[in-house]
Amino acid sequence: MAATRSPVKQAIEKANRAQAELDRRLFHLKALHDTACELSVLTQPRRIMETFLLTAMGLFGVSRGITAMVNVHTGAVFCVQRGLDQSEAQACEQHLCRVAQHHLTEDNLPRYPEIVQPGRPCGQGLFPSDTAVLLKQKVDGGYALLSALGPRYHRLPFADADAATLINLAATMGNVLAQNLFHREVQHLSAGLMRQASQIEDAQAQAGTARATLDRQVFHLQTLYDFTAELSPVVATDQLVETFLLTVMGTFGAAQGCVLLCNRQQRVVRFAGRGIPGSRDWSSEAAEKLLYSGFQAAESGRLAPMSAVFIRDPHSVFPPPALGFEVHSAVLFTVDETLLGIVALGELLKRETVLATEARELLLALTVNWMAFLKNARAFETIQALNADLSRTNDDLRRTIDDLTEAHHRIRILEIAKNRLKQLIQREVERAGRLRAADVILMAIIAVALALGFNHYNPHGITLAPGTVSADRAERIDVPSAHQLLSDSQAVMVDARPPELFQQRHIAGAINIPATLFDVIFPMKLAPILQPDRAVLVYGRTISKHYDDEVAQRVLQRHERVMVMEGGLEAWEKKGLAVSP
Amino acid sequence: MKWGLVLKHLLFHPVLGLVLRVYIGGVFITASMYKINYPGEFAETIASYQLVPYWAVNVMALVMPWAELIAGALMVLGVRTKAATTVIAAMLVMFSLAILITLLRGIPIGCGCFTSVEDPLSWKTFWRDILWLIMSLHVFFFPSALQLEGRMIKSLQEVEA
Repeated sequence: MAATRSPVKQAIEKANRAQAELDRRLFHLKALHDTACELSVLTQPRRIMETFLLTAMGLFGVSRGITAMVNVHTGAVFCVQRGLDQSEAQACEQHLCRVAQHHLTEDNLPRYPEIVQPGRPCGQGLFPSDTAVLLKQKVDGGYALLSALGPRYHRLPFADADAATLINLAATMGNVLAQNLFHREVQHLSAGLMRQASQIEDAQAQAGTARATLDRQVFHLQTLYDFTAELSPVVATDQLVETFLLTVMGTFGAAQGCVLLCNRQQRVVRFAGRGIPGSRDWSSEAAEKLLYSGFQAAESGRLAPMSAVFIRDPHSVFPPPALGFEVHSAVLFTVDETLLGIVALGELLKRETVLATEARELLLALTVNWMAFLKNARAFETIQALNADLSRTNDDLRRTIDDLTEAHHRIRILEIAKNRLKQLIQREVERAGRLRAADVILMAIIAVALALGFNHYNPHGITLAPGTVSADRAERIDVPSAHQLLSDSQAVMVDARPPELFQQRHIAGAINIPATLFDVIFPMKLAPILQPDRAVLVYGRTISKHYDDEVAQRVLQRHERVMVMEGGLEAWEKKGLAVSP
Repeated sequence: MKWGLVLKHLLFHPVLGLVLRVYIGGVFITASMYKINYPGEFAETIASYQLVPYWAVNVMALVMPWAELIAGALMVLGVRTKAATTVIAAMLVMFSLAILITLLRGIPIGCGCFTSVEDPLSWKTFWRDILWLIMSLHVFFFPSALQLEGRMIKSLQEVEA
């Protein structure tokens, strides 16, 4: 009985075991199916790995397990665990990271999950020491998937069927993860594409803006270039003002416009206007007042040299009576501290209430550019003035040089004169101390000249030659004849010498009639005794004076027979004739 | 010895030179005045000495007073002092010789030194002229103060410097 029951029993047991095996397989298949269904709807890798781990742990009665997805390129580890301590989980994560960097490559990973050392404790430190089964597999996208499960309840070993189921489960998880990663990659790429498309759109918009800006700048530059080319040959300030006004009005399409330029230093105001009825003379005070109003309403509080600024609300700042028209836009500019002004435009043809930003920039650029020319023109005018001054200075210098040349000439002449004077002084110094024959001769010449000149005009003047030389000489008679005539009383003897000499010695019986006293003595002494037949004998002469001739000539004027006795007293005495005393 | 030095100092003092210069110059200027105005009388005086040829008497009577005036003036002013002193000294020598000869010849005439009417010529007149001659030699050989020419030259030298 026992023998019979035994085969049946054995068959039943075998059938039961087969049934149990089939049930278990069915259960495993259902679990696989359910897991596949569940995983297929999951979108997050963490959820997929958690679902796999929980399914595997529940399916095989395991209390501890861990699944790690390692990026073989970067070494990044993403773990999902159940039943492990925090320290064990961290240790696993660190170990896996190290292993992934050194040992896990795409080449040595199986496409399909493989069980590594099934049923034996895992490597030291890599997974918990009680790890019962370890799976490794490759996931598309450069990932390695490592899964470890702890021991089963009741320490049941993993049968082949369990291993196959686990591999299938892991394969399913790998596929789902691969799909998920692929899907994520696609999403990432799509997002990147979307982002790039957006960036391209932004770049296109920026390019459009840049193009518009470039076009505007090109227009501005062209306008500035034309403006510069037009202003280049102009050097006169008035012409610059006129040209600038016409250019600005033409560029912005203004019906009216004006430019007011005020030179504070010279107190000169230049005003140019177009489209304004009437004309107006601007005083310096009125221009200053207008500029002050402009400064009060300037958009920028401080205006540096060579800069321009728009004026806020120019309609109210410059009412129509101020400039002669309704101001649409106005710019205040400063060339330097002494030269500043206002550019004002009337209603625009475009009927714009406010100038566009680009137009404002252009107007400011034109104004600043124009100011540079204005400054140059001012410098040119200054240079011209300096040139004029220089020319005048040159003329003065030339005159000064002429004067200096003349002065030099004079100095040279004076030097020569000085040298001559010096020589003269030296000569005079030498002469002063010594006797010179020339001085004596000169004195003699001067004395002769003065003597002759003075004698000519002197009423008591005398002749150079004695008077007896030129007069008619009286008849001569020798001493014996004279003595004979005296003895015969036919003659009268007259002594013509001065009384002193007469008194000293004279011929006996002679009458003394000196020439100087002739007019007095003749009538007294000689005239009474003078008879026509009696001769008058005159004697007396010295080396210096011919008294006898002189007296004889005077007696001759009164008496005919007058004779001069030759030899005089000396000859008389030599004859031994009588003398007295 | 001391008196000798004082005397020497006084003898060579420029002020003494100035005094003698002015005195002799003044004497000659004074002497020339009358002779210049009345050359005829001076000619008579010259003739009375009986030393000058008759044809030279008038010329001498005309020129000599002017020579006395010019030399005297230059001597007083201190211009060309040596030349003026020389002329004056020469004239004094000439006058002294003339007086000496006339005195020796015993011709009774007046001096005629200043005017035509003077006391008869005497030895006093001769020694007076000799004294004047000595004074003139002093002026010639020794310096005297306030010479116009010297001061003028000194001023010119200062201007030149």
